[in-house]
Amino acid sequence: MSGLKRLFFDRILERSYWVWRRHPILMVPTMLGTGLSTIEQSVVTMTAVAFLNLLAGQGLLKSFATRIFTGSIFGAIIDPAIFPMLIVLATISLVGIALVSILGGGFVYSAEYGVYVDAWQKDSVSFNSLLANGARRWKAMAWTIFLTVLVTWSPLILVGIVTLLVYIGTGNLIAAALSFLLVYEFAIGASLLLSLFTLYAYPAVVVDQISGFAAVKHSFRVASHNLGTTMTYALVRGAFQLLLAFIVILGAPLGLPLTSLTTAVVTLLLLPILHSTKTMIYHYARPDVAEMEFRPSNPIIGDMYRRLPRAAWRKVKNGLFEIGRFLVSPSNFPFHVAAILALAIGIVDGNYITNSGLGTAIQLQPGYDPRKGNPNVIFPNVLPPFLGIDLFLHNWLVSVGTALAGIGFGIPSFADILFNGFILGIVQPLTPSNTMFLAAILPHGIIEIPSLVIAGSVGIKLGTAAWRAKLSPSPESTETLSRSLRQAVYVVVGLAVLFLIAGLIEADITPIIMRMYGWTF
Amino acid sequence: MDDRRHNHSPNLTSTRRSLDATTLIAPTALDLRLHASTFVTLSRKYIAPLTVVNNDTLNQEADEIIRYSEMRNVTDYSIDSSLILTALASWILWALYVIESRYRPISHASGIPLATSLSAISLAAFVATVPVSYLVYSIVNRRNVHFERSEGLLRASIGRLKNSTNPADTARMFAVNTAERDLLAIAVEDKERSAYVWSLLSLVPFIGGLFLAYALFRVNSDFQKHEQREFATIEDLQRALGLPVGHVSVQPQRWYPSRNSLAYFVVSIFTAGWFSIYWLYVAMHDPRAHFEIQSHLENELQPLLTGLRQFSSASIIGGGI
Repeated sequence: MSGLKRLFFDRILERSYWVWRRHPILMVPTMLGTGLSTIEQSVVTMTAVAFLNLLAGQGLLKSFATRIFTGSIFGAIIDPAIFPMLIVLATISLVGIALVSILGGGFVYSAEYGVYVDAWQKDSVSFNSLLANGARRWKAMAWTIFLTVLVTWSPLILVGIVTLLVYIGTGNLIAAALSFLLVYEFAIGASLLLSLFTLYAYPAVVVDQISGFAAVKHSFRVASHNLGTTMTYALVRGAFQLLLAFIVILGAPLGLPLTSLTTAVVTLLLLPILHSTKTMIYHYARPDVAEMEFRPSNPIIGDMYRRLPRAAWRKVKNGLFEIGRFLVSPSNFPFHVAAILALAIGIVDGNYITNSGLGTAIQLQPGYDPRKGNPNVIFPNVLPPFLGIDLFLHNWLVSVGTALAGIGFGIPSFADILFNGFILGIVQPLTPSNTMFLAAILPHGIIEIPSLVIAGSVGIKLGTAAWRAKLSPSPESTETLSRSLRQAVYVVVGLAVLFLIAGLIEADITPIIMRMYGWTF
Repeated sequence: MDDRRHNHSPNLTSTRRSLDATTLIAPTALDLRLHASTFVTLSRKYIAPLTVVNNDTLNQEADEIIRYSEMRNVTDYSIDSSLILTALASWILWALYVIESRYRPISHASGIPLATSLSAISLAAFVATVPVSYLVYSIVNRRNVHFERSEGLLRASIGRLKNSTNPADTARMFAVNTAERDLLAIAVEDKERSAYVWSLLSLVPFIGGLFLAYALFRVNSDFQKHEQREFATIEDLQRALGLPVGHVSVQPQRWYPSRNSLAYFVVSIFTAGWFSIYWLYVAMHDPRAHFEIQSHLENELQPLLTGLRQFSSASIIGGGI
């Protein structure tokens, strides 16, 4: 009408919800995002495992651990025998994280924002199209991620550089620190303001097929021309995060651990819907796209507590069947073996680390009691059902990360299982007897550990398919990768039931059995 | 705009005119209105429950005018009065929180740590505030969807009229163009206010009350302006359709209650949000009369406008009226 075009935030947000309901595949990119975080964590954990092994090999582990436990962390770090090794490993770790977050982020965000556009325009969206979106624009997206981060945090980076220059110029560390403290709040404020304008850089890569500075420039243009809608988006996003944080803070003194619940809500519900909203705000802001038509939305709240749980349960049932198929198929046995092997290597290595001085350092701690369990997991510090649910969601999200991190050519899934085995291996020699160890691990671990191994196994399978698609690209290898990703997603969805049972046992039954076998709390 | 109105109907003193043309409507139109009323009654009885279940069926209606008219079953909804009790509960619990943090009566009496008692009270208060937030959402969202539906209906009606009007019929073209200009003003002025933002902000402890009061303040003033502009446009439509535009008993009234929202806002702040509860309650019911009179007007116009589509080529309606 007379060239008047408006953006309706609520209309887009509500439509995003229904698009999300019609295409549950929209949750997969954020699950892949969890996988990406797992890959980043794997870089750190594997570096830490390597560091501990190097120390153990050189006979330095006991003295290093003792210093750390007695509080002289700085002294332990600057030890001439340890410092160079630590610097090399820390550099490798930081470079690894940066590379994973930019390159992996390129793939994940390209897949994510591409799939939102597909979901709004098509009746069905397949795993194949999700992967195709990731493969198509990952380089452009990676470059855009790098520049967006650089532009957004440039004020803080500048302050850092100035601080460094002050230190070099004056040689006075206190003066440099004071100059940093004086201006860093303003730098953070400026960065937050800039983040409002770089909000649409990632959608721009997918919607306008551009990258780098062009994407950042388009984002600035759309945000400044539609400042009200952009502010509304930022407010809604911020308000949701703050409210969830507020709920977690309120729950803690009452023994209600709610962190994992809010993480699950953010990962599976809020992020896909809000990112889809952001993408569509950018889409409808384009001059060649007509104003979004008014259509009354079906009630969302009614849907959320009536139909959504039923739909979720149907998916979980499909997931349970998929676990069955995945486990019994002979072609998957090598992946099961690989995952079990990772766990076994981890356990053996953990044992080696404890027996190489770490165990002694722990046992020398004043007040150390090997029979004492964690008092934070028992009533009245936590209310039993809530702890069980928190443990379930935490472990389930870990398994989601383990399985989907497999898309990074399988290595992160292997590494994640290995690290879990490593922790078990460290703890086992510290317990007074094997019976006590089994009493603490077996009741819930009999379900939890195999579930995690299954997640690792399906992740390794996904990684193998990713290798094949990379080394010999063909429609068949792409199809195999797509099917593996679909299977990985359904397997982890099915694992939710197993983790729920394990979580409830761990919170409510394991402490009782532990007490029966001599543990105190 | 005012000059134009005075030229056409000098006896009228306000832009909210001819809200109920029942007594003045032409016999042909009256017959059609009867059919339309029957249809609306039937649709409310049989179609409305379906639309609540799934609005997709509603969105598939081919005729835009009928579709937008029927949408009022979904957009012009009433809000359950009992929800106001949760606002009372929320206010009391947050007041209890302040008392406990200052004088500690519960922690002293029961022996539980202050942090635990404060957490328990604030969690209960927060839970009680969630329905209040839903109330705010419902009020702001109802404003948005009503405005959007009205605009859609008016746009479709003006489009239909424009297509069926002979360009040589200057009087009618003038009325259509005026209506179009009024509609553009509505589109520019009736901006969306995000129901999600206001409901989320009203959840914030203590200062959420400020956001709540401001949201009510905006809704109130927006509705008043909207009513004025919307009924002026409807009047233009009536004029274009050849319906008489004159003084009837309902005209001098403001259908949306005139409240001094600035005073309400200030009083709400000075009473620490207590007055907001009353304001919230009246805001739930304020648009009722506006919705009723608008549905009445739509019932009159809809058969005439939908008839234009069928008879425009033969110019029967134009000639008949």
